[in-house]
Amino acid sequence: MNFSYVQPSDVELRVMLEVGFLLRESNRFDDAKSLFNGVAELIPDSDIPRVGLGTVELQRGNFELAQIACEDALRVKPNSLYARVHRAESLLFQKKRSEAEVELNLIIASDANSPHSRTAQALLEVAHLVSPE
Amino acid sequence: MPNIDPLKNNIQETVITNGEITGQPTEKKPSFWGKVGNVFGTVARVGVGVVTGGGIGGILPSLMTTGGGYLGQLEQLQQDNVRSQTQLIMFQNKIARSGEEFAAISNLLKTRHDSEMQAVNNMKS
Repeated sequence: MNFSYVQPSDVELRVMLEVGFLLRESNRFDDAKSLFNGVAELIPDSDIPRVGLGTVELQRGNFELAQIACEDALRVKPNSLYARVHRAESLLFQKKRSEAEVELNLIIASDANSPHSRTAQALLEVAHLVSPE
Repeated sequence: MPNIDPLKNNIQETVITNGEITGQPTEKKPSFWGKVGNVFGTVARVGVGVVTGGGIGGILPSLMTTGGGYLGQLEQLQQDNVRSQTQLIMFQNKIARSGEEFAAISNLLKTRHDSEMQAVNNMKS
């Protein structure tokens, strides 16, 4: 379908994305996926709804699908720290700890003050719990 | 019927009715003061052993004969104490580890939320 005639404002898009996160946190995964897919159609150049889809899969325990969604987001926006950190998280849950740790350290090195870097640091701190050696 | 005190769990007194004994006295557990008395008794016997038996040579037989049980009990108590202390330390370590894990996961959830909110707030269509 062509959604080009729909021109939501930034505020409307933010509300939609936040509702997607709320649906995910409420374990309404199918609803969250539908919403993120819809937003991805509205803003095809944004990584956020694609990473949102990835986080839904992460929460569902579908770590490979989460990785695929995050890599899809990285195709749209290759330098997205947001997509990279969740891709690394999906690797961690797939027990690919060393690969995940390398990526997380690279994210922190690229911009230590970014909130994504703080998430990367927090993931490194729980890596031994998620993926024990 | 024997008069049973539920707290002491033994027969308090023997009731004699029509010349028949209806309650059989059971062996009473030593009370606290009874135990204290036993300990003093042992000390006194050891003291007598020292005086009459002549020094240390008199103490050892006293402990072996009258206080040997106490030495064994003391050793048992020490072993129980060590075991309890070890268990306590293990529990403390476990609780500390659980606390650290909880703090790490809580921090992860918070940073993830901040990261998402920052991504959403910086979004431009």
